[in-house]
Amino acid sequence: MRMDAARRRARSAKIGLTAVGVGFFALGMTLAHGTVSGHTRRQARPLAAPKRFQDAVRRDALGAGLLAPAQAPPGATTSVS
Amino acid sequence: MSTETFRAMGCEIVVAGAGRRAGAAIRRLFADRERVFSRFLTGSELTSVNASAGRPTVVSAEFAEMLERSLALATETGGLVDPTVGGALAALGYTRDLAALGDDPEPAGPPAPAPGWRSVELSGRLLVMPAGCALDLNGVVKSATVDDAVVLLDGDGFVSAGGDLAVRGPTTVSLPGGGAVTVVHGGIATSGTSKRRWHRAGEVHHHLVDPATGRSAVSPWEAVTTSGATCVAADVAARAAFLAGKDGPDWLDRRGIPGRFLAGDGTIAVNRSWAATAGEPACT
Repeated sequence: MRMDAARRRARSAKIGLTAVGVGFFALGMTLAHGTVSGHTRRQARPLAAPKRFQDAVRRDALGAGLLAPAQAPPGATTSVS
Repeated sequence: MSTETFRAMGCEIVVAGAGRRAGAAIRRLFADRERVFSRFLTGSELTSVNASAGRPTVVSAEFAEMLERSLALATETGGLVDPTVGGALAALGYTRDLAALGDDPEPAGPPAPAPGWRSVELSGRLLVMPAGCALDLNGVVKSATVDDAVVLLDGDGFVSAGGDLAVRGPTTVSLPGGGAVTVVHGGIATSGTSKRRWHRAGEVHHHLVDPATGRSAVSPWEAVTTSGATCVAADVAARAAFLAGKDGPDWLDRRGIPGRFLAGDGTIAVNRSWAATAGEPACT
């Protein structure tokens, strides 16, 4: 009787340890997937600057300056070039 | 505010607000840029790059940066402002500094349409352009030098090269055809036909060339003034608006750029963006 009980406890312990091991492994894989840079999480994208950024740079290349109605006698002139 | 003037790049440079060291640095900057980018100096890098068209050429980092900006602005303007018009200008007779360019009884050569900015390939410092292609980077180089020079000022002031002007601190600027505006930030530029023009066999030519035809552009405007976040932006926008002709005011409005147009008969029109910022009523 005592031997049978000991075998049952040993089997339960083995199952429990295996389950805990599998659980830790799965958790470790999940965390690695989410944090290690070598693991792909989503569709790979080219390294080019986003279009939004490119548009912003382009707008800046021909962006407007800031003007105001003349507030003083002219100190400079924009002649024709 | 102290002001000094000197000549460079074929025009008068006015510097206001620079001390002795800053003034000297600005003179050096203009002289250095002219040595690299002049179409008329035989020893300039631009001249040797144009002479080697058709063969892969390694250019200096400074040259590559300026050309890259020119190509980007050509894309942005849909080719209205194209750096490959060097051959067209030479064919029209603009082969020397304007001061040395007298009236010539010989007619200009046949027009040479620009090969187009798309034919120029620049990868890092390696440049490949088709044989016969000649670059003219003067427009972008002059205004970019104004932008770089204004950074060297000791305090508030401005730098002006011909029609191109950049400010540091609000500056009131007089405008072609009368009137004035305060440039609070950035630059202002005027492009037109009244100064850079010459005669060949009695025919008048000017430097604002239509890249598609290789001829001096026909436009209802005598001068176009625009504002820009930088002097380069203002200068390129002014030239593009001039070349866009009647569509010039709308071309600028679509980009939110203020523009003021002096017509051949002396009338002045401004677009909606100019009216909204500079206080002049828009003429539509």
